[in-house]
Amino acid sequence: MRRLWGWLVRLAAMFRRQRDELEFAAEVESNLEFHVEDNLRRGLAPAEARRQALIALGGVEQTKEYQREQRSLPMLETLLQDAGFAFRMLRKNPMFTAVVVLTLALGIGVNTAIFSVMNAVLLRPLPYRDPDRLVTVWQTVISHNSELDGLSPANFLDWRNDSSAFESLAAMNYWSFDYTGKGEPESFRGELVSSGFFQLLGVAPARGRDFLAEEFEPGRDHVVLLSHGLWQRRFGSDPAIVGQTISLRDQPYLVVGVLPADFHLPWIGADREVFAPLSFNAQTRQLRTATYLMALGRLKPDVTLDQARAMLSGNALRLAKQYPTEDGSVGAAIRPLAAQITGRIRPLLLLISGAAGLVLLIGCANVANLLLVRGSQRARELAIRASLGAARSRVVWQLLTESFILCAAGCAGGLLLARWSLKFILGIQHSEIPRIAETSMDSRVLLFGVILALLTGVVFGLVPALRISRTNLQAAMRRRIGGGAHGSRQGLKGFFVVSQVALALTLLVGAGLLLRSLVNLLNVDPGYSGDHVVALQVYAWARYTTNEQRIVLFQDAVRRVSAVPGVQAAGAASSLPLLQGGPDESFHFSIAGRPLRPDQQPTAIQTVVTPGYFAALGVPLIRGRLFSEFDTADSPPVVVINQTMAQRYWPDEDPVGKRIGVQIFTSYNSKLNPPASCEIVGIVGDTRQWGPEIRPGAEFFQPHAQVPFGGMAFVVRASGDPFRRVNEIKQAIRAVDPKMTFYEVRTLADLRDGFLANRRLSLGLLAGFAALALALAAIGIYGVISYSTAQRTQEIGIRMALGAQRSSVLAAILAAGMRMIFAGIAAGCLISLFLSRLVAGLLFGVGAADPLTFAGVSALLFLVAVAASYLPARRATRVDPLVALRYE
Amino acid sequence: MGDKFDVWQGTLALMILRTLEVMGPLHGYGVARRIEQTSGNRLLINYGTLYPALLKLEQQGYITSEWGASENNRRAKFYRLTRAGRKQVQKETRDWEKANDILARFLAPEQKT
Repeated sequence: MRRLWGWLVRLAAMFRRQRDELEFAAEVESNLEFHVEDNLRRGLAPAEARRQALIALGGVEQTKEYQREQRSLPMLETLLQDAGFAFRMLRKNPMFTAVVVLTLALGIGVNTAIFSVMNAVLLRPLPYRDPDRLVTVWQTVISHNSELDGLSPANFLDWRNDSSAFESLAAMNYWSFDYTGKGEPESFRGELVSSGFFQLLGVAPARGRDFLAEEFEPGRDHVVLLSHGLWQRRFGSDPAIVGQTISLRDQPYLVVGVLPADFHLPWIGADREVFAPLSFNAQTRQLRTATYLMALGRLKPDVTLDQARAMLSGNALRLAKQYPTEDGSVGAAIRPLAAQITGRIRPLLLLISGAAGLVLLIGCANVANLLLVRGSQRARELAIRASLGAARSRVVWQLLTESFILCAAGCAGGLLLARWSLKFILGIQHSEIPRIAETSMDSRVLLFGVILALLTGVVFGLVPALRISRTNLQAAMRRRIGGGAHGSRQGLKGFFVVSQVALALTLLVGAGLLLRSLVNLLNVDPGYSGDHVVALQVYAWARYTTNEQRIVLFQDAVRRVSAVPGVQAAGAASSLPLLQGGPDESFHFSIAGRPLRPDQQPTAIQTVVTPGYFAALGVPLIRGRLFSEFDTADSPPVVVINQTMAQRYWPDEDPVGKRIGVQIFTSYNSKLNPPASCEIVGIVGDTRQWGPEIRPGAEFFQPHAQVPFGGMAFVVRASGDPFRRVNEIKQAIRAVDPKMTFYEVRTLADLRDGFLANRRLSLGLLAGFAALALALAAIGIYGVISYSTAQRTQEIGIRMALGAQRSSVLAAILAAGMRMIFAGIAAGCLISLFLSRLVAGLLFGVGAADPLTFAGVSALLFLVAVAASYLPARRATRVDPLVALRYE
Repeated sequence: MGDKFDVWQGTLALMILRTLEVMGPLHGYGVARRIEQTSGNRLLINYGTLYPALLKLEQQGYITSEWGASENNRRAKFYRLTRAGRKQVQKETRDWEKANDILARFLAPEQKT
């Protein structure tokens, strides 16, 4: 306590040095006088009395120095002195200071912003209890490359009962809830969840209660939990909503609770607004082939992921033996929930943060170079300091102090920059990146920024400081400021320039490859023309229970939509390109006249369409005919297939007129019908169903009149911006059914943009980083060349006075720069060849070692580098030889 | 040097405090003189260590200082013990006695039992 107080007093003493100094001098003086008086009293002569007193006192200055050391904190004082000096030096060189601080701020800001996204998306634990134990559980189709599939109700129930790997296992099923109440009818995104779902996650409703066990029985399951967002949006945050009954799907549902505001399910895409119990009736309990459930499990504490996989595979094997026809080819897969959420985005984020790191490295090299250059200019000053007795460590400290001041300014600027760019990042909607909305500058991000700044300070400050302080005193003193170059130091600068060029080239290569990929993707013919097309998804299962009702509904609605002014074509389809999930050709069919081998049953995508669909989407007919209004429930069943299907299954014959057997079920609850024999009446062009990157799969279309699905998307082609027609289109459909709700209303162009959003984002960021890197490298080259020419001004003057041609002098200077640039480009190409493999997964239609990209960015970098070294070189040769000779 | 000692590390502070306790307010020269006298002139006070020691005690709050007039009306800086300083003297005195006692046992001539 006393000691602490002592420190504080000493700290305070730093601010009244002058007064203390005077006071102490007075004290010493008065004590000296006492001593002199004593000596006089002892009979000494006045001069002798004073002499002896002075001897006894010892070295006054030494005493004062001891006193100073005790009075305040000399270490801190030195530091402050250094800092004050550094401030003055930096203020005297505003250009230098500005460039350095800006470079650092950019580097640190970019990295901090990217890290804050990484922090939210990858690092922060999921907001559930023990999120490490959570896994998603899948069926796999062993005959199809073991691709992931959902679970069927019967398999889910068996796995839940039998598997000892899980503490609990829950299933969920996407469900839309048509809401009719106050305001416009609306379709809420919902999820049916099996019992124990919320306990499994460790989430409790913020208001009201969780579902009760008996509410998972059919007939008692008309209860819902609302999301916090929906509660605010549609029910005005009314606390009394709990306990009230609302009308969903034309049925009364009791609201039992509201979920917490931070409750999200980031692995299933858009947020769900309504949750209801998933109940199984006697019929659904038997379903083994309808794989529509998503499953989520919590591993037992002592079970590892691999053990759980083995245990679950055992279960799948038992079921395969027990139900060979349904489960013969069913395997099991488990993925950690965190990986499920971030799996696709992880490599992208790592790539971007790696690129940001490169920018910072280039910035560091730049700043180190500038410091070296400045250090050379200050060689004399430092030499004077050293010869006056400054220890090398003292000089290094002083230089480091300057670096850290620069660094602190850069850090502050960087954090500000990060804040701004975060606002920008959050401003653009990226629903494609899960959890990005949670991004914020929390303490971890701030810590990251500060540590980064400190590291940066050491990296860019220490090497130059050590280098500069190791000055040959005599040489430096003898040399005039700026005279004569130092070989080794020049080499270090050259190294920095070479590495800057190399790193910049690496970033340029990455950006170039991504740019070419995006261009390739935009040029891919999707097989349809999505401009001017809007899609409106509806779910009409609940209120349209018979086939006839659904057929009439969609016929009437499409007819009315077609009559809306500006609408050129309209139809409806059970799924649209870009709206279907991942690659999934899992619909089984048989080909008439070919023996069926169970392990090689042909599969394709099944899509149900109304006749107008092909025209509305602009899908071309290749052979045969499309559907017409004469293909009805009573006419012979027909299908239209796509080119891929025709080529895959009928490579050498004309499929038109051939027959396939297709199992038709129109609702999950309906009985399985025997396969219907359908005639292939036409072949249409392929469409890229899963986005431009993925080759189209085999697909067959069936007329809605023969397979009356309830969940369909209207596809409307209209002149101009189709989104402007949405209200009229909705009105036209509501003229048929006033209670109709729309789930997803998007233009196809919008959907495509969503598909490419991540690519655009990563390309944009990488291109931005590459541009920064290029600019930094150019500044670096410019700085080093102009410094070296400035040092050689005298030499250049002599050469020119002796008759050297301006062009030959220019060439000599440029040649020196060229060497560094070529070395940098060569090194950069090697690094890029190695690193571009990392982005291979993000490339489309272009190799990771694409020669065109490498050559192009090398040329670009070369041009910029030459320009950056030409400017100072030209300036040097323009100098009047006389002036140059007199140049100090 | 011969018969004169430098002050042992750490004991100067106690000597100063004790001197001020006995003598009341004193200036730096007086403190030095008094310590030298008390030691029978066997200690030689170095001003280069005295002043920092006074300053340190003042920073720790054991003594305070103020400018005043001496007997012969000369301006001088007088140091005075504070209440904390008085306590510190007692504490350190006890500590020294203990330490002395212990050391004395070690240094006492070996007794055969």
